[in-house]
Parts: sequence; C-alpha cells; structure tokens
Amino acid sequence: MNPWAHLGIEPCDDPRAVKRAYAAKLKLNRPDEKPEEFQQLHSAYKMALKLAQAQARRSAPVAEELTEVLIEEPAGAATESVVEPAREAVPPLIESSPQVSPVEQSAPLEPEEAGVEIGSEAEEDAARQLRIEEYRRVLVLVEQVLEDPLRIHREERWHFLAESRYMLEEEYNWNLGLAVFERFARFNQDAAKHGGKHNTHVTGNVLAYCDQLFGWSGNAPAYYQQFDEALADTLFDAMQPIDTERDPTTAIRGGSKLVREKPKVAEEQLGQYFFGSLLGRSVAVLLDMMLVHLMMGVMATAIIMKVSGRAESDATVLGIVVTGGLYLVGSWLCECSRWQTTPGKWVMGYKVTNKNFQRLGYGRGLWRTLSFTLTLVTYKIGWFINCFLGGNLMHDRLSGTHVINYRKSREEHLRRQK
Amino acid sequence: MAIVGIDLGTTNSACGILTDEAVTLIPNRLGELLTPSVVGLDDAGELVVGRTAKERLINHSDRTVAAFKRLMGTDHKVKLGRQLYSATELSALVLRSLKEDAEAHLGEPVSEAVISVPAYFNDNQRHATKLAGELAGLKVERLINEPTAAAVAYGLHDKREGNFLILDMGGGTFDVSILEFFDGIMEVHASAGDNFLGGEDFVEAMIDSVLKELDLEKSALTARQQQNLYMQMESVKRRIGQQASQPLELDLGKQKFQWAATSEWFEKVATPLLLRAKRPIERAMRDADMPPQSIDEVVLVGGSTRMALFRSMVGRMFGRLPSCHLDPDTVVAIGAAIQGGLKSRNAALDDIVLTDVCPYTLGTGIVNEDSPDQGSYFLPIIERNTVVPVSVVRQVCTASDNQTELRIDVYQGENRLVKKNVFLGEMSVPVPKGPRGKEAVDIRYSYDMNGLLEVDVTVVSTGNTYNKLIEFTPGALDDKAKAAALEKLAALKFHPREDEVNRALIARGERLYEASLGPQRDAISHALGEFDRVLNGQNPAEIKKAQAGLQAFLDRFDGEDWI
Repeated sequence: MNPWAHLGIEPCDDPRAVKRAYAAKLKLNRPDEKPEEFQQLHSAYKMALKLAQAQARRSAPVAEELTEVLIEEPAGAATESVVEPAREAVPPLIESSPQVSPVEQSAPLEPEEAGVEIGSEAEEDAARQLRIEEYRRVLVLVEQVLEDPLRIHREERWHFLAESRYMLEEEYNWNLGLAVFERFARFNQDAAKHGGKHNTHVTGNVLAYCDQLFGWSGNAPAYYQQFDEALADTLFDAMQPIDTERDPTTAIRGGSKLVREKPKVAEEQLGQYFFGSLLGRSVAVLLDMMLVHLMMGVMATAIIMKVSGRAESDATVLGIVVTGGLYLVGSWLCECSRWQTTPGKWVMGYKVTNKNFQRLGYGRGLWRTLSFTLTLVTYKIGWFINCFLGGNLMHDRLSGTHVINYRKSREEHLRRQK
Repeated sequence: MAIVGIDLGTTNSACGILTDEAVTLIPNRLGELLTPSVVGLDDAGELVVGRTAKERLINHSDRTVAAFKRLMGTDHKVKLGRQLYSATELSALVLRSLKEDAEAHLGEPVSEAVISVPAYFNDNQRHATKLAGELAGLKVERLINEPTAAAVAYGLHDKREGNFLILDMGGGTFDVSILEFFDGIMEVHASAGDNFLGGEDFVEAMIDSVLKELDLEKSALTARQQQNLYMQMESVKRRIGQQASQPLELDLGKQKFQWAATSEWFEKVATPLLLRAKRPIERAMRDADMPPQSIDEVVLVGGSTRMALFRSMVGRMFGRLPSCHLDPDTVVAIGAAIQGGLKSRNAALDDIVLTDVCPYTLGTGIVNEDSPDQGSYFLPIIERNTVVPVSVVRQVCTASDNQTELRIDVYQGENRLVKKNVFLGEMSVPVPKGPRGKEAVDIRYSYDMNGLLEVDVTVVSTGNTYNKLIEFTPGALDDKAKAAALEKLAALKFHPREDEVNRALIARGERLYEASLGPQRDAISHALGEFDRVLNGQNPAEIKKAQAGLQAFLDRFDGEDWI
C-alpha cells in the first residue's frame, strides 16, 4: 500500500502537511459512515506520518540535528527520570553505608514537594536525610512482617507502606518500590526453594496491593532490566490482576439489601427438537439401573442377608426392589437438576425437559416419576402401547414432559445455523 | 428531532442539547443543572429521583439508593422497599427523569440520546448502559466515552490545536485519555482508566479510617449513622482544601465522638488512592508514546478533580498547572450534546470529525501446551488503543484429531492467560472431522463506534458463518425479561413536576429535623408545619413566598455541603 496515494499527496517530510491531507480526506470518509475506508485511511496516515518524521530527521542538516538531539535529550531523560536513579544504584539488601542509599543519589527534590523552603544546601541535605531515615524505617517494618508467617498474606498488614510520608514523591516511591520488590522476590524464591506445601510466601493479593502503590507491572521492563529474569518472574507471575479483585458493592449508598443474582445461563433455543427413541431410552434406563444396582443394590443385598439371615436368592430380589426405589428417587433428582439428565440418558445424549423444552421444576419432576411408576403397573399392555407413541411415552404425556435427544437436536441446529 | 446528550454519572447526572451552534444545559424540575443520581421510593411508593431522593438518603436509606453506577453490568441487585432493582433499571429511572425534564424544557418529545460512559467501561457495562436508555424510552444513538466528550467540549470551546491529556475523575470512575486536535480532527490516541476509583472511594477510605481509629465496626452502626457519617465525610472532603482542620461531632454506635479532620489525616487516607490514579496516566502516556513534555495541556474533568491533593499531584507529574476553565461537573454533558449534534449532522459541526480507540485488548483463548494447568493462553485479536470502528480477523485451527466442534471464548484484558482476563461470551461451531490442525476457522472481531463488540466465525473449509454468541453477560436481558422490566418501571410514577420544589424542601427539612435537637428541632418542626399549612391553602403566590422563606430558614441550619 502506498500511503501517499491514499492521502492524495506527494511524498514529503512535513508532518503538518500529512495531517492536513488526512484531515481533508477524513471529512469525506467519516468513521461512522465508511468504517472500512476510514481504517485504510487511518493506517495510511499513520504510516505516512512515520515516514515523514523519519525523512525530516534524515534530511535535516547535521547542525540542526545536533541541536535537536540536545533539545530532545533532557526531554527523554526526564520521562525516565524515575528509572534513572534506580538503574545506577540497586539498593543493597543491608544498607551498610548511607552514601550509596538510592534516595541520596536521586535528583534534587523540588521545594514544593518537600513542603519547606529549601534555601541552602544544608536544608536540602536535611530534607534528604529525613527521607533516607523514613526509607530505612519502612524497610525494617517490611522485614518484620516478612518474618511473621501468619500475617504475611493479609493485605491490611501492609498498609503501613502507603502511610509512609513521602509516598507521593516520585523518587522516594520508586526507590522504596525497588527495595520492597527485591525483598519480596528473594523471600518468595527462598520459600520456593525450601519447598513444602505450607511454605509462607508473599501472596498474590499483597502483590496486587503493592503493585498499585509502586506501579510494578506498569514498569515491568525496567524491573527486568534491574533484576535477573528469574527473580523478577517470581513476583510478576504471582501477581493477581487488579480488576478481578475489586468488589463493586463498596461505596453503594442506601438500599435495604444488596443481592447477587446468579448469572442466568441464557436458555439455548434450538430450532427443532428430536425425541429420544424408545430403544435408546430403554438402554438408558437399563444403564441407570445397573449403575444404581452396582453402587447400592449389591450392598443392600449383602446387608439384607446379614441382618435378616435370608437366603441369597431372596435377598437379591429384595435388593433389586431397593435398587428400583433408589432408581426412581435418583432419576427424579437427576432429571430436575441443572444437567437435566441421568447418567444413562447422558450417555445416550438425552435430556429431560418440560413442554417448553426447558428445565423441569422439582414438583413436575416428582409427578413425572409417579406417572412412570403408574405406567409400570400396566405391565405388558402399557409397554406395548408405548411402542407406538413415537418416543413420547405414556408417562411423558401424563406429566407434560419430554425426553429429547439433545445431542442430535443440537447438531442439527448447528448444521442449519448459517 | 434533536438528539440530547446525557452524562449519566455515579454521583450526578446532567443533560444538554445543541441548538444552532450553542449547547444549552437543560435544568431539571428544581431548576438545577445537576441531578443527583439517586433513586428512591417515597412512603406512598411513588418514585423520587434527584435531590429530593438524596435528602432522603439518611432517614430512608432502606428505600433510597445512590452510587449504583458501580453495579452496571454486574448481577448485583438492590432492594428498595419490597422490590429488587438492577443498576440498569435504576439508571433507567434517572434517565427517565432527565428525559421528562428535557421534554418539558424543549416542549417536544425526546426519544433519542447520546449517553456518555467511562472510557474504561467494558462491553457488559456498555450494553447495560444502552439497555438503561432503552428502558427509559430513549434510543441510544451513540455511547460516547466521557473523557472524549469532555475533550470535544474543550476542543470546540478553545479551538486550540495540540495534544491534550484528559483526566476525568468522577464519583466512581477514573479515566485518562490522550487526544490530538488538528484541522477540526479530534483524534484519541490512547485511553486507560480505573473503574473502581472515584470520589466515593475517597469517602469510603475516610470512613474506614475513622472507624479504625475509633475502634468501631461498620456493622455496629445503624443505617442512619452510616449515611450520616458518609454525609459528614463528603463535606469534609470538599472543604479540606480550604480548612486545614475541621472539628466534627460523630454519632457512632452508642456514643458520640469528638473528631478533628486534619489535612495530614486526609493526605494519609488519600495517598493509596492517588497512587492508584497515577498508574493509568502512566499507561496512557506509554501507549500513546507521548512523554509529559509533548502534552500541551492537561485538562481536569469530573467533580473529584477539585481535590487540592489531586491537583498538586497532577501538577507535580507534568510540571504545570492543569486547566479546568469549563465546569468539571457539566463539561461531559456538553460534549455528549455536541456529539448528539454531530450525529444529527448539525451544519455547524460539518468540519469536525472525532475518532476514538478501544481501551481494552479483546481476544480469544487458545490451547496452552506449555503449562496446561495454567489454563488457556490469550490470543489478542484487537489490541487496545486500536482506532475504532475496526474489524480484525485471526485464524485458529483444531487442536485435536477428529474434533467435531470448536469452542470460541471471547475475553477482554491484558494478561497472557485467559483466566486472568474478563470472560465476555462463548460460541461453538461445528467443524468437519479431520486430523488436528487441518480444519481452521476465521474469527472476526468487529468493534463499533460505541465500543460494542461483535464476533463472527467462519469455518474455512465449509464457508459457513456463525455469529450467535451464547451470552453469559451479567445484567443482559432477553426480550421477555426486557418487557417485564419495562412493565415494572412503568408502574413507578413520578409526582407532578410542579410539586418537586416543595417535596425537595420538605425532604431537606426532615433531614435537618432528625439531625438536630432541642429548640432548633422545635423551630424546624414549626417551620415545616407552617409550610404545610401554606401548601394546603393552594395560593400560588403565597406558596412561592413560603418556599423562599423556608429555603432561607433551612440554610441557617445546614452546615453540610454534600449535595
């Protein structure tokens, strides 16, 4: 793509001209009216702007370039002023000499930051000394909390960090952030080395809290430059994302009660439903019965034998009766559950629904089970009739429920959806 | 028909309209430009919105609610009286009140609106806002980002060119946007923000700090004490810039406390929140690739930017004073009204084009074979701060042999693992069986000017396209639920407009009555009784006079400025 042709101008090195051309074209290709043309135009504009700026830099006379660099240099440095002092001096784990303390090496504090008139160097030094003392005091507290395995994970235990007096000052904040980061990282690394399930370490919630105070994740590249990768990784990987932490109900005023309604999974509407076949449903019932029998019936048989001293054959019959009862209760609960299916029906891909193809209420489910028991009594005649009902059996009709072949219905639905 | 612009705020809302080149802010039934976003029911079960409701927040907190914008797009509901209301419904009631005010002011029906949302609102929250408009009988022509709206207002007002950094801290949210103006183009370069950072959080932190120092639990306070404390802290927050120390009498639990709110104390409480505010500012500058020097002007928007501490922090960051010569409370509504004019192609704005960006990265989950226990990797499809409207296609293929269905999850966020991002929805598409990697689908994400997302999936081999997302969106309603919500809201009626002044006065009088003791209390009671008598007399001229009298009388007792 030739960005210049898109903008309708000759290649040039004047960013202003590029912007003018873009502005003129944009008024004919408004984003809300011609989205595609707009996207193309916008990327052409961005590209042309880059080319023009690069060209301008190249074609500029050397002298001018020099001054430009000279002008830009402090600007660039200023943006990273927060990074600079730290790169020079990693705060040592134990401050042996105050001379290397990073606070001291940082840029001079602005008078209004210190809140006092700094007229002389002596006063400046005094202000700096205050910050160094505060910095040390806080780090001692950090060490203390790290030694207390029971409280280390509690966020409020770390609130003293935010309460440190100079937290709003860039240099102080940056240096303290580095020092705390290093202590946390080493602590967690040690904890991981010693292994064990119950090792104490600085947890994700605490890290997330400190991240807000010191902006660790925002300045991750600088941290990776500062510390070796494995060390920085230990904290950055464990850090919890901040947004998921927040409780939206704080600061809500009034109302007699706040209620959280579980998100309703939107009922999927399939275009067409297929009923489960009689054969498939019989298999499902047999599977369920077998499952119940293996799990409970066998045990029931054994217990009956032990307790009443009956012969094994008698006990087995009774065990089967128990199985039947349990099956009825179990299928009732399963079919009305969130899954709307019993294990056997699940294997066949079936689901039980009401007349509107939605989940059953427990009342209707109970009625469905009773209807099933009723039709069982009709024995062979009833079963014979069922063969001609096209999958919508007697007890389904009685209780106003359906057994649908969910898997087939859904596949068909997806196939048709275009 | 004109399109109104509405700023639906956490604490206050406002409404404006563009008429021949100039924006008019529409006064509400009390004649004020700001309507507190507070909704309540009165003793007769009728609807109260705005200042009257805010006055009732202390004594009728079980039937009144404020700051519910936080709950937009979540599944939390608030109980008022016997009914549960979602934030969407409550917002709809505020919008309805604004709509009626606009109709009364303009003398014509209003059915279309541009509504502003925090730039950092996610898809769910935007959908919820749009739905609130629909429930209020407004067709939402456009959702505009609040800082963008403010920038539009400033841009048209100043007609200056250059790079602007907009800091918008309202009652509940904080947004940062970087814009460039040139030749009538307003181009947003980057947006960032924090959806849980606003004036209400400062008040909340103050309350927590007071209770901690006095060694009290919040649960030990009655609802009225809680609301009263909230009101006192709100007043303190507003005055702390001018008054270094404010003596307070706090009625908490079973006893009264004397408490001095000092500026050192406030600074300590506010520091963590101010530090949080720095993060999005840094991020927006990084994303836009603009160091502080290339920002020509820093603009403050939103009531909370009045805090002196906030201003001095911004001043330190940029080494200059931020500008705020337009009223930070109404500038967003002005911008939204201008956007409404743009939308209806008002001739005065023919030369202006606005381009915005999406604040979040949107993507999908892909199989993570490196560390399966960590869950899927996040595959970004639309990167944050891409200019919108935009449509991007990425191709993914099947991950196992004979796979018949491919599930596409939609996520929003910046983490490389999907579990740390926000889940928006999912969709399943059938694919022909085959060895892994053979079948592929094209996932197309389209992001429109409103910040709303659409997803299309095309199976490459069959050419079938699917676009029905199974939404788990909290707060979303299907047609049936929407009809039910409409019915529920329609049952709530406003009082006649002309009564509103009287009702607001009485609500205020009742609040002051409950707050005072002894002879003061008797005096207020007497004044309210007198006012009732005049109202019953139904003589308009006398009522007018009595209103002014009561207003002046109550002003004498009211030491709080929290409205």
